[in-house]
Amino acid sequence: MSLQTEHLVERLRAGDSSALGELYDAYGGALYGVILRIVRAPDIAEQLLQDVFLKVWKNIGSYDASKGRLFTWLVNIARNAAIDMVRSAHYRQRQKTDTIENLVHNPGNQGVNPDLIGIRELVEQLDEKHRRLIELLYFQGYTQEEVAEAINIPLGTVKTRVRQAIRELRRAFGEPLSIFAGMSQVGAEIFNRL
Amino acid sequence: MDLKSLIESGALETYVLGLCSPEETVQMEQLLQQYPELRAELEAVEHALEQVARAYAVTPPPGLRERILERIAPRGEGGPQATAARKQQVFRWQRALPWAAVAVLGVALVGQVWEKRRLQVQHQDLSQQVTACEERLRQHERLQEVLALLRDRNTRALLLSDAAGKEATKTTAVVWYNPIRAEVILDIASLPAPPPGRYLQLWAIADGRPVSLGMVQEQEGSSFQKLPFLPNAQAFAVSVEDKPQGNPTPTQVLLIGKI
Repeated sequence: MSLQTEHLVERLRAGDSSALGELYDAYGGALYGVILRIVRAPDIAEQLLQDVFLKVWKNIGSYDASKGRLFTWLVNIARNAAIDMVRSAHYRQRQKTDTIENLVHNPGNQGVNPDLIGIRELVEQLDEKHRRLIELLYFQGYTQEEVAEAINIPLGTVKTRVRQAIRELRRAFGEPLSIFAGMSQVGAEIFNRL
Repeated sequence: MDLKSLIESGALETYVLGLCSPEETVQMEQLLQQYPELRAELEAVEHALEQVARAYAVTPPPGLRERILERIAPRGEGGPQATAARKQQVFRWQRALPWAAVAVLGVALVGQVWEKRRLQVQHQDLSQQVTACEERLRQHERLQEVLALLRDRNTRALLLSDAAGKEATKTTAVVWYNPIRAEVILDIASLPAPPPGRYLQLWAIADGRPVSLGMVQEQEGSSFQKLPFLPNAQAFAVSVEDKPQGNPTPTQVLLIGKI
């Protein structure tokens, strides 16, 4: 975890509401994108994003950095909230009676950060079977069992294929993590000398 | 467990996607504590998926950020700042309470003082009226006594006339005398005012000697002055004296009348 993220988590735990604002600025768009792709209705997605941040505010004490990155924790809260919504009777009833516009609505084209368009293109250029897997698991909230059934492959194959898909992405991104980690270490050393 | 085949199995990706069972999750967490290589691999997977999510980020509707912050700040579910603000509000409220009590008491006190003053004035008015009524009643009772005496057939009117025997002087006084009731009343309405620095004294003549019956006094509301009754009196007289309290013997006798 970077020093910046660590500090943000500390402030959230101390009840600093401005830290929640900063968290929203850093991750709100990415979380909204995930939720919107699952529920496919902006009004529901908006309500869910609000619920997610309130939940984060209340439960930040249960986040354990040794178990993973802060974003992973956040995106799992968001995805679970969205999946719970999609599976609720209320949502299903609504989808039956809903107009076609929510369904044809393509949220992916809204408010995209131009710096990230390159990454998006990389995702689009993924092997079709890998791209679809990422889409279903990460953005549609499918379980691996559901994916296995949907595309008619064994569960074990789903797991290894997800592995391959992400490895492909990592290769395309050029493993930026290790570079950043090294940089932050150098930065910390310089900071300590000042 | 072979770390490499664990990584190749895709278990880490399943873990990052939040798709592990609770048992698998606990197991993976323990392994992550134990093996730094596994931990590094986890971070790489997480980072890749984070990049994907960021690439597909959508700007949330405007105002949502403010609505979220509004919902956490004023209600402050666990926010220490909100708790502090609430404490401060309570504190302010508690501080205002004694002043409010003082204000209420102050208003009540002013009202009380004002009411008391009003009642005092009213009381004064009423007691003056009562005093006046009592005075009128006493005058009335005195006149009733005089009237009772005048109606009594044993009462005689004695005319006191000028001691020098001059018929021309109109100066007279009347004494009502009743030996049965043992009452004597002088009507001073017709008496002249004494000269300045002089006073009128009353006398009875008993056994040839003058006995003082006191000074002529201003009577409230009537002109009747009650005199002491002397059984052996033969005459009444009025003299002019130089002292307010009178003299043991008459100086200048003005009027006299025999019984």
